[in-house]
Amino acid sequence: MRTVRKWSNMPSRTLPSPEWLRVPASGPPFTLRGWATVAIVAAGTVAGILFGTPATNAVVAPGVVVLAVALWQVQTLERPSVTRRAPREGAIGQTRAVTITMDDPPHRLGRIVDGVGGGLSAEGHGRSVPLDRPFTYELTLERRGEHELGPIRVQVTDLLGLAERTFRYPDAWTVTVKPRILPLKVGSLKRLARLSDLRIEPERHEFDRLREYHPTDSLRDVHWKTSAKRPDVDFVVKQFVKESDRGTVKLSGEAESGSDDALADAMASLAVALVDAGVRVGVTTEAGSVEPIEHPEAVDDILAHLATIGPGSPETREAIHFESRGTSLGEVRVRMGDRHLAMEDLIATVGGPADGAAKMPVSRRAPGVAD
Amino acid sequence: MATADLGRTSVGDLAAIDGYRTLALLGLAVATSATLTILYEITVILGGSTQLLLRVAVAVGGAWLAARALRPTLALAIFAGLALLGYAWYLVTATADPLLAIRAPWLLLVNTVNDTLRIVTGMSVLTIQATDVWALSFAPAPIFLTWYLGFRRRYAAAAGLAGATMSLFVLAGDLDVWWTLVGATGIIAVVGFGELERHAAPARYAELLVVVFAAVAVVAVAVPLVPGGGVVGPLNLVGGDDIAAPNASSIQSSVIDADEELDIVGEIELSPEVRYTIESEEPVYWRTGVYDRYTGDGWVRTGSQSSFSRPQRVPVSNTTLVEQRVRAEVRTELLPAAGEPVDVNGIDDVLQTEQGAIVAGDPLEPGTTYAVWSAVPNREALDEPTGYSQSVRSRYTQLPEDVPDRVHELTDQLLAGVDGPLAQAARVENYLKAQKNYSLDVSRPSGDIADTFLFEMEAGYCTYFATTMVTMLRSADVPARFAVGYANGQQVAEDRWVVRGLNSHAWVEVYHPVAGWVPFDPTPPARETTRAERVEEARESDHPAVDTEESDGLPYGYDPSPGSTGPGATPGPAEPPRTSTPPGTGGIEPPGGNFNQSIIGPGQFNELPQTDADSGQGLTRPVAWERLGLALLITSGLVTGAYRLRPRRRLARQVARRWQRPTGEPLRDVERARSRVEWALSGRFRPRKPAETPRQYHRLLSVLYDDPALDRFFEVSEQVRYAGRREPELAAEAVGLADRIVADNVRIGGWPSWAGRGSRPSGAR
Repeated sequence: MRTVRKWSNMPSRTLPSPEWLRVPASGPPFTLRGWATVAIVAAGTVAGILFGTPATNAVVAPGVVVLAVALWQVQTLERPSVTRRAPREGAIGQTRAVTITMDDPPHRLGRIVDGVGGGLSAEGHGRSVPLDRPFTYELTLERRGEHELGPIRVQVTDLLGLAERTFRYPDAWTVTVKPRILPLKVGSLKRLARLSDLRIEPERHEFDRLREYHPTDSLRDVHWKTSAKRPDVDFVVKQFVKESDRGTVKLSGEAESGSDDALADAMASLAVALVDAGVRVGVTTEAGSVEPIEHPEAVDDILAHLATIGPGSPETREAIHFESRGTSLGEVRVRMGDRHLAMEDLIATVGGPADGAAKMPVSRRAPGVAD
Repeated sequence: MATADLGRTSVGDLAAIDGYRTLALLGLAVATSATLTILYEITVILGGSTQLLLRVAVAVGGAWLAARALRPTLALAIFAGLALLGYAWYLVTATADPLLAIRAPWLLLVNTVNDTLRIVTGMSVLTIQATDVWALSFAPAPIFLTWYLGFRRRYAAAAGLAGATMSLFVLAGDLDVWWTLVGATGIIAVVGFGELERHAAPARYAELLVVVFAAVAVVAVAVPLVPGGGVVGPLNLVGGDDIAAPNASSIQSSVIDADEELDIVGEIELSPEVRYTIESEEPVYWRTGVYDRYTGDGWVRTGSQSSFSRPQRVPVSNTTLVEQRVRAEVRTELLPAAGEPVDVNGIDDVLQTEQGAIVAGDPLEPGTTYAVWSAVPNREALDEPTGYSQSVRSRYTQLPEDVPDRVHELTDQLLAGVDGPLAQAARVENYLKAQKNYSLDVSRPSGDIADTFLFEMEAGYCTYFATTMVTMLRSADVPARFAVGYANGQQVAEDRWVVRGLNSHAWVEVYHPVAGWVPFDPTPPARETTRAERVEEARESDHPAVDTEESDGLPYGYDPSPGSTGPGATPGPAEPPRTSTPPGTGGIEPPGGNFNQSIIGPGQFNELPQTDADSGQGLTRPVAWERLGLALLITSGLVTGAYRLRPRRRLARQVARRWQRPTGEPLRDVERARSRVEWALSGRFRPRKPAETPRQYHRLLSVLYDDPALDRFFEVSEQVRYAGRREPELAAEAVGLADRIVADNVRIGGWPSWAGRGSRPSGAR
């Protein structure tokens, strides 16, 4: 259930359709099939005139009728406005729905093709469909990073596929694929705290108040009873008491070429666990740094930052420094001063991208954190 | 994961898709049936219909299996193999000399190209050699590939192939308007339903397809788009009187055409126009054409024409050499000559059909004279033949498979104990003369001509007599054929005749291995009164071409012999005198030309009977089931179109959106007022998106349009809907405000943008 969100919460944008994008009409928009029909009509007419073939009218007339219908269906159409609903972000391995709708959906057959950039994969992103039905396809976020969707191509055809017009919507859509967040072993944070100067105490879930749903909220926190009573808002979630300030931790990391994915996963896993525990977290990598701030969405900034990092070293080393030299997450070393740990020792399950844990959604409350 | 329905189709759609596939394949069946009717007709006429059905069934079944197991390249290879095999088999079976394929393969190619050209330019496929073999070998390959493609969901390709196959028969003129229309509709159905299946379209998309079918039918039948060949024919929805006119004129002109097909028609007219003046030593029958293939409702001449060359060996025994000098009085390409012509003088370009009749390469101008010498068999002197060559037997004893058994039974009875083909021919000739009356006023039978004439008609004219006689002789394995031309006209001197259009005639020729083709005439002796009257009538009405200088003033040479009321009048046991006169030898029955030739164009609708003016019955038409089908198609299209447009519902909706009367239920009134306001503003701004809550939409509108009425309306409706103030006064205010907003934003007769009309200010976006 978690991968599908309500449409109203999906970011969406109506793409511009400026006048200059209209393809100038140069000649009849016939397909190969359409031109073949034109040829048949011409041949039938010639045969009728030259040889007086009696039944040619029954060949020419249907041809003329279907060509006329085809032209009418394709030429009377104004450029439709297209809206794409798609995720702006997500975690590796997630499968998300992308929907393309038209504001003034034409009662026509056609083909919709959405461009899917590298790092993403999709099934059914180019299909022949009736254009007045919502067009939905499955998008799989394959690799960490910022990837693009688009352009959208809408081909309108007539009932028999004789004529065709193509509208292009060159607007691109960026999807940020965040690193994987793996749950930590029970007691990992305590272990870290012992090794460093962190002050981490057990978290207590104290009910504070109800508030409106935010896309980063876990569905576990939805207060269904109240949500049902409030039709004007989408969901109501439980807000828990934030623990008092537990200090600030800065993480930094470096990765060799090809090891940046492991680094991002390691840093993300730890950062999420720390933020969930009430710690303000700052991150420094080769791509810059995210300052620690007290904000419920601070972790989003960190994950977005980690989504785009590559190999390299940061300018400064922080209290907790990650070194990634291999391709596996377990090989990442966590250094605290002169002491160090392997991520292997902290992560509850270490597996490849296909591992079940890898598909865990971004959650503020990964199991195992609350020790 | 709740992604099960993302990008996939729901169960309802799947049902529609299966339905589309069924309909597309049904369309393919209809499209192929147009071709198959012709092939089936050919095999019924020439034999092998069971074989054909078997082959078609195997081809379709094989296509079904191949579609599951074989890749397209393999299927294409099978198609090519079948086509080559069929072609080779046709060549071996149809060519007289199979070794020709090895000695001169290019000749075969030339023949094939020749045949193809003839068909494409409008010759019936029945005119090519061994059409039955051709049909059997032609059928399997395209049918296999068509259905393979159909089963593989390559609907457009399947439709294209079916159309290409069909077009051959359209060009040949074998498919009439009705069947062509059926085929075209099938092709549109294949492509249309195929596209609907491919797009997983909801069923309402099929409605437009039905409208297209209806439009196609109407335009094909009622609008002549092709100037030359646009025969609208009997399907003309407007009226019938104009149909008879071109038909009549085609009979008038037909005698000057060397048609390869002869359809048998109903009542015919006689043309008093003078065609030829002929000087001949003997009053022979002047032949202009010979037909060898009987289709059950007409005649076809097979084979091609070549330049005339004098025969290497002229049969001298039992034949008389007759010299004829012919002067053409009209422009014509027919060269009347007694059979068999052995030499022609006076014209450069003379062609000869495979049957031996001669035709001018270029039409003769009026006044042209030519001389022709013919070897006319002496029927009385001939011995009964003992056997025939295989080629004569196969060509001239052909009969359609569907000639009813009673024809064969009657022939067997009639010829029991009569030995020898010539004696049998004489027997049949006399039988028909005695049994049937002569009349031009007949309506065309719908079934087999010979059968209907023998068992259901009392009278007919020469075409009926000759057709029936050939059928009966062929039934007894006597090689016979159908000859047309002119019988003697008005005698103006001892050896001169003026020949008019009304002297055209049809008779029978029976083969004799030594003497050649022996003429027999089963038509009862002279109904010359008809002709004399017609000539007199034309003379009285000052017909410009009824007379030449020679014939002017001379009575039409009819000498009624008292007591002879015609054998048909007193039908009795047929034991005719053995002295029955062979035409061409002269004798007691002056062959006066009691007939009319009915060569007409290959158009399918020319065979319609014409208006029976005397009896005032009006047009008698063939069964109108095609009209019924057409009417059904058009009606369903109109109904679907009307349903699609739903004018009444649209009107009601328009009314309901402009006027509203408070009902006293505040919530209901406010809801309706809200939907009216949204409708009115959708034209100026945009419709509310499915994802937007009414409140979000209203907020947006308030910001966009600085309209106090709008703000107040939203305030009032919120009060009623959410604050629970179900007060009629508030509802009435909301309705009043809605009236104002609608009036401000919608033109009279205007449509909001989503109705697909009007122009929306795009600046609102």
